[in-house]
Parts: sequence; structure tokens; C-alpha cells
Amino acid sequence: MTLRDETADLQSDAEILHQIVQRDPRAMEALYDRYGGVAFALALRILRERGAAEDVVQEAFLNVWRQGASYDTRRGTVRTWLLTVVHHRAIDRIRSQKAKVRDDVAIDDAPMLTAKEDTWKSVSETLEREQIRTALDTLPKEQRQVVELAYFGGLSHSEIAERMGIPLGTVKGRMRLALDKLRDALRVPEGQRTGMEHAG
Amino acid sequence: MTDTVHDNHDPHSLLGAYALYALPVDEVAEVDAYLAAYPDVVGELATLEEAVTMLPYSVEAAAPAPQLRTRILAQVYADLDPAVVAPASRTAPVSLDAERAYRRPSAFGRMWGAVAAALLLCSVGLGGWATTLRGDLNQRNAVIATQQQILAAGNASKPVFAAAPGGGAKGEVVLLSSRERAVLTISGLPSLAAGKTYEVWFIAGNTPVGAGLFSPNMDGTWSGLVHGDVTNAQAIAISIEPTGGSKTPTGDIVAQGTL
Repeated sequence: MTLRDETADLQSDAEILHQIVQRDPRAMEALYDRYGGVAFALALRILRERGAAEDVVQEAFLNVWRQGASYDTRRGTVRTWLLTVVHHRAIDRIRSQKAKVRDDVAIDDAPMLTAKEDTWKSVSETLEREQIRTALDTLPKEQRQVVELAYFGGLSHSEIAERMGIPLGTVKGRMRLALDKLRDALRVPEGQRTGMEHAG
Repeated sequence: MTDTVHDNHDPHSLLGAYALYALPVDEVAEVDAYLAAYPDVVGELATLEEAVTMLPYSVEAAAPAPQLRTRILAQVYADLDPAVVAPASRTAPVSLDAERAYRRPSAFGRMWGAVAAALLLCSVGLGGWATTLRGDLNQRNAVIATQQQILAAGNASKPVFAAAPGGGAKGEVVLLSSRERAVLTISGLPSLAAGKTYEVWFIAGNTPVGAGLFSPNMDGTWSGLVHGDVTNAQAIAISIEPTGGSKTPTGDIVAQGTL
């Protein structure tokens, strides 16, 4: 499955969401099988503790199950929704624990998004991984840093500015530029774009 | 810091940080109001959020415990009114009426008695959860009473093991309280030959009762709802049967567990 032949996958995701709205529990099986792995990997990357990560994933899936009927599909795919819930809940946890970023990890030591080959092995069966890897590699280091500190570290833009010793406007600009570049690099012809395939 | 003090607060400039969940509450509200006033910007934000949701795929892969799937699905099914629960298996499970028709002594009774006895012996080494199951099948009433207590207390999880040495099947079954249902999650199942299916059995005394058919995923995993009289069963077993299932088990047992 690649980003180019995701039409079927998109339809499948839409069907899953429809089934969730209809309270069909089989949709949750399909949703978990498709995105449970990547959801857990994300939560674990943020929280660094398996038990807490599993708790967050469980909360997120049940949130999707219980709130499905009220979800506005114009806001994105079920994948986007689920992973956003996982991310926000994980970040909320570390923020509430006032452990937004481990102080013993210097900015330059923070892992880059494309640092490990194993990362890509994990999705090699289902993603056009080189496309994403290339997209991430195109980001300048300083842009990857702000994305990393925000998305995985849970720092706000002002906290990143203070931590890196740069103006807040620069942080905002780097965030926006990084996401624009990722979006453009991953963009495929209209009608074929969206859903990522299962990674776990 | 000085730079932050002098930074302007154009809401549009906050979209990237908004998509990355990197804004304080007051600025989130500011962007929300901006989006409400300018709906055309919602689409622009969606493209940024789409890029953001690529980021999870950049982290190192990590597999959650198989029990997580079971816990989630158990809660999903528990949320539903039992009267409207849809079958969870990818193949049609055996109906409760059909299962009850199967519940009769058979030529396989002794075989299942042996299975149940072996499971009880196995349970002795599995720690405290097996305490109520020690003994033999003559303690059935005591076991049932204990099970009823477990069920009354909530969803109870029990491990499932490969039936033969060297077998890779393992998983767990979660008994849904006050219901004749359970959620089974299992991995390491051998692939099936054509014309074969897996069948789940709840074993009450010496009597196996069909609890549903399923075909595993390509990776040998499966999870779903199984129907059966959990309250009266002492064990669960999974066997390989002809497509369509059997009235009584005829094939190899690949996994089993005490309840």
C-alpha cells in the first residue's frame, strides 16, 4: 500500500468511521488493527512509559468509540482524529506532570525525526516510507527541532523560544514552514490524498 | 524575553503552533475564534494537521501488549446493550440457540474431560488466579460459585495457552460480567488449510459447547466476541474444524485455558 493507491484505504477509513457512528463494534476492531500500533508508538515516544502509553491509547480509542456520532468528518479522517486524540492526551499528561521535556536532554541531543533506520523498518510493509523520509530530510535542522520539541516534547511555542533563545516569531515561522514543507512533499494528486496505512 | 514581548499576535501566524498543539489555552481560544470568523482557513489548517499526523510514523515502532486490544474491545462491547451486540468475528459465530443444541454428552466427552483435567493441573502452576480451580471436576459447583463472584465483580481476564508443547498460540479471554459473552484475543495461530476454520469451545464439565467460528488474520492473530455460557464453563479451547464448524470437536486443539 502506498500513498498513491490509498483510494481504497480512504474508503475503508470512511467506512470505519461510518460504522463507528452506527455503533458497530467491529469497526473498532478494524480501527485498532489499522492504527493501534502507530498510536501506541506515538504515545510511548511522548510518555516513555509503556503503562502510561497504553492507558492513553485505550482512552483515545474509547473516546473515538463514544464520541463518533458527534464527529465532524470535515475535520479530517478517522486516522487524523485518533492520532490527534492520542497526541493531545499524551501531551496533557506530561504537561500536568510538569515534565514537558527532560532537563537532561539538550536540544542538540534530541532525536531527529529521521534518526533511526528501525523507524522505517517498522512501516516498510505498508508505507511509501521513502517519500516521508525524504520529506523529513528536507527539513532544516532548526525546523525539525521546533517540531520535535513541540510535538513530542509538549513545549509551547513560547517555551521553545525561551529554550532555544530565539524570538517567538521565529519559532512560529519555523513551525509553519516545517509543516508546509511536509505537506507539500507528501502531497499527491487530488482525489488520492489522505489516509496513512497501518503501521502496526 | 524581549522578543516574545514584541511578537505580534496575528492569529494566522499561530496556525502552525495550533496544529502542533503548542499553544497556551488563551491563544487556542484566539485561533478558534479566528477559525469561526474565517471558515476558509479551516481547510488550510486541515492540511497542516494532515502533515502533523505524519509525524507519528517517524517514531520507532513499538508494539503494545496484546491485552490492550482485549481491554479496549471488552469495553466497547460492554458499552453496548446486550440486545444489540453485533457479532465481532469475521465469520459468523454460532448462535446461542445452536450452541445449546450442541450441548450434550458425546463420544468426545472423555477427551474433553481429559482436557479439562489437564487444564486444572496446568492451572496449579499459574499462580493465585488458579486457586479456585485446584482440585478436580468434582469441585465444579465450587468453581461455578467462584466464577459467579468473579463475574459479579467485573470483567475478568484469563490467559490462553498453546495446547501442545512448542505451539505458539497464546492470548487471553475477558469474561464480560453478567453476560454470556467473552472477548477472546489470541496470537500465534497456525495458518489454516483450505476448508478449515477455527472453532471456539467453552467446556462445561465434559461437554464442549461451540462458541463461534473465526479465521485469523494473516499474522496469526484474532480478537473478537465469542458467545457461550461462560458462567457454567470451566475451560475454553480452540480447535481446527471443517468450514462451517462442527457439532462436537473433531480436529486438533491448538489453544486452551482455564476460566
